[in-house]
Amino acid sequence: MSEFLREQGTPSMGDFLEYRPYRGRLRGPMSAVFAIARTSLGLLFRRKLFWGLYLLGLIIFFLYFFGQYLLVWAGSQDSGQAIRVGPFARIPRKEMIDGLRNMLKMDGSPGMFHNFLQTQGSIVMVIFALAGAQLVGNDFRFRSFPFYFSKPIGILHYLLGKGLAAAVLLNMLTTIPALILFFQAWFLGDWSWSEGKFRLFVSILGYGAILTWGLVPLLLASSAGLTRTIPIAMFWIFSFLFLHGVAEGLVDRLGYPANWKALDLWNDICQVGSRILGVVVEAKNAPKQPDFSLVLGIVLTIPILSFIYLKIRLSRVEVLR
Amino acid sequence: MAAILELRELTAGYQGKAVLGPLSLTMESGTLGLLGPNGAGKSTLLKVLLGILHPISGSGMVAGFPLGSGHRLRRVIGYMSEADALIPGMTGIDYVSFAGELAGLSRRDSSRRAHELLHVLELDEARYRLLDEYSTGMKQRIKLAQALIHDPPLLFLDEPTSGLDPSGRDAMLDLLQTLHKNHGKSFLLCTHLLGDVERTCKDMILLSGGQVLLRERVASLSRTIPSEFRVRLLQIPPDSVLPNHWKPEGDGFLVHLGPKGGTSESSLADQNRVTEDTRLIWREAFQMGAIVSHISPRHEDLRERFAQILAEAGGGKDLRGKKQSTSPGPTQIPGGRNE
Repeated sequence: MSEFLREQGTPSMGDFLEYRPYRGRLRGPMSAVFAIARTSLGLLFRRKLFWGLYLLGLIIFFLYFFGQYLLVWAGSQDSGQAIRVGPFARIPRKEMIDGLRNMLKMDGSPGMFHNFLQTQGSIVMVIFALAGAQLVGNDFRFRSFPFYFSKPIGILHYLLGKGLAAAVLLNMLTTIPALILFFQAWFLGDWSWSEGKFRLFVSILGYGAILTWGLVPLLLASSAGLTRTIPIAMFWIFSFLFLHGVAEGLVDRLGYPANWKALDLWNDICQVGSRILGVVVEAKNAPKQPDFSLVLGIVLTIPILSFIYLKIRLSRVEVLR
Repeated sequence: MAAILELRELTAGYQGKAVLGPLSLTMESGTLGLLGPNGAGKSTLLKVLLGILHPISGSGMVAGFPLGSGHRLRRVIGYMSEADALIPGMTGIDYVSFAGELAGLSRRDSSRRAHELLHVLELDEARYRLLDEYSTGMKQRIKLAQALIHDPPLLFLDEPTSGLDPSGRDAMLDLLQTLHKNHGKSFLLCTHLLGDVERTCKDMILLSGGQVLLRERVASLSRTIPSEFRVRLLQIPPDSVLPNHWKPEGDGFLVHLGPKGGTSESSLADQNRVTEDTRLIWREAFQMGAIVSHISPRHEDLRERFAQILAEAGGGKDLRGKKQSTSPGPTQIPGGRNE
C-alpha cells in the first residue's frame, strides 16, 4: 500500500509534500496599491505613539463637535431669559448664544470649516513629520526594494500605495471629521438641502484634496530623501515653522512686499483652501497676503517637483546587489 | 524540453555603456548555476531577466514572456534576493501574505497560502514573531517563502545559503532540490559557493567580464582525472633520482601519467586504467628504493577548474573577484632531487 501511495506522490514524512501549487487567478498591479497602503497604515498604527497623536488630533474635532451641539442646544432653551454679565449688564440669552456662535464660528459656516481644517493641519504636520520614516524612509534604510520590485509592480504602484496611505491618514484627521461636522450642522439646523450646502460639501472635499495634493508628495519626497525620523522632522520644522516665521518677519515686520509671504507653504495651501471654501478675510488688521496666482503656482509646483525627485530617487535604488 | 529562458545576442548596461554581453543563452526547464567573480555581470543579468533593466540590444524570452514585459514577466518569476529586503515591524506571516498581495493574489488566498508555505518551510511556530527577531536561517527561509507565494515556475535565487551554518545550508539545498524534483520548479542559482551549484544544479554558466566563459553540465566538470595521482613516500634514499613526471607537491608528489581523458561516470575501463597506473607508480617507487605510504587519484573539483578558466581568461581572479596568487614559490623536493 505504501509503495503504491508513494508512486502516486502521496505525502510522507520529511518530504516537501505539503507544498501546493496555486491555481487561482492573479490580479493586476493596481490591486497591490491598496495592499501597500493598508500594510503601511497597519505598520504605522502598530505604534502607540500614532494612536496618541491621532487621538490628540481628534480632540480638536470633539471640541467643534460638542461645541456646536452645545451652542445649538443652549440656543434652543427658553430664549426669553436674560443672562447677567458683570454687575449691571444683562444680555438676552438668545443674543448671547448667537454672539458666541459667531465669535467661535461654530455655526456650520465655511469659516468654521476653514478654522477647523487649518487647526487640524498643524496636527497633521506633526504626525507626518513622525510618520515619514515609518511610511517610506524605512524602505530605503532597510533596503526593502528588492522585495517590492521583484513583484509584478512598478515604481508608480509603489508611490500610489504609499501616497494613498499618507492621504488616508491626512483625511482621517481633516476631511472626514470636517464632513462629520458638516452633517452634524445640517442635522442640527433646519434639515433643508440647498445649493449653498452642496457647494459647502464640495468645498470641504476640495480643501481636503488641496491638503492632500500639497502635503502628501512632499512627505513622500522628504522621507525618501532623508529616511530617518529626526531629519524628516527637522525638514518639516524648517518648511512649516521656520519659513513661516521668515515670511511673517519679512512682510509684517520689515515691510517687504506681500509676495514674500509665499515662502510660507502652509499659508499658501490654506490660501488656496480658503478660496475653495469661499472664505474672505475681512478684518482690517488681517495680514497681507501674496498674489493668489503666485500662491497657486507654488501649491501646484512643489508636489510636481516632489514627484520628479521621487522618480529619480527610486530609479536610483539598487534593487539587486 | 521547452526553453524557460532564452537570450539572443543580449547586451545590457547602464547609461548606454554595456557591461554584459553580447550574450546568447538557453536554459531548459531545470536548474542552472550562475557563477562569476564580482563585477562579472550576474546582477545585471538578473535585473534584465526580472524586467527591471531594459537591454541595450538583443532580445530574450523568460517563461514565455519577452524581456521588457515588465509586470507580466515578474508574475512568472520568484526572486529571492541576497539582501535581507525585510520590512521591519512586520511579522513573518504578514510579510509573506503581503508578498502574495503584491504578486496579485487576493487577500484571502494570500493569507491562506502564506500559512501553508510557512508550515512547509518549518516556520509555522515563528509566523507571528517580528521579522527583526528572526535568525539568519529563518530569514533565508522566509525570503524563499515570499518568492514562492505566487507559485512561479521559475525562481531566481541570489545567494540562498549566504550566512547559513552547515546544517542550515544542507536544509536549504535539500529544499531547493525537492522543489525542483517534486514540484518542477526551475531555478537560476546565483552564488559564489561552488558546492551549492555542484549539489543542486544540473548545468552551470561561468560569467566574467559580461561574457559567458563556460557553459557545461556540472557532472562533467567534476570528473575524476585518473592520469594524475597524489603520492607520499617513506624512506626515500638521498641519492634517488625522480622521474620527470613526478613533481613535488606539499609533503608528497603529484605523479602525472599523461592525458587519458575520463568521464564523470566511473566506467570499468577507467577503473582498469587506474589499477594499471597504480601498479606503475608502485614499480617506480620501488626502483627509487622508496616505500609508498599513500596513493590516491587526484580529483579536479569545480574550484580548481574555475580558477584555471578564469586565469586563462586573463582575469586572474577567484569567484569572489579577488586576485589569485600566481607565484608557486620556491620548489622544494622533499627527500629527493629532480632528474
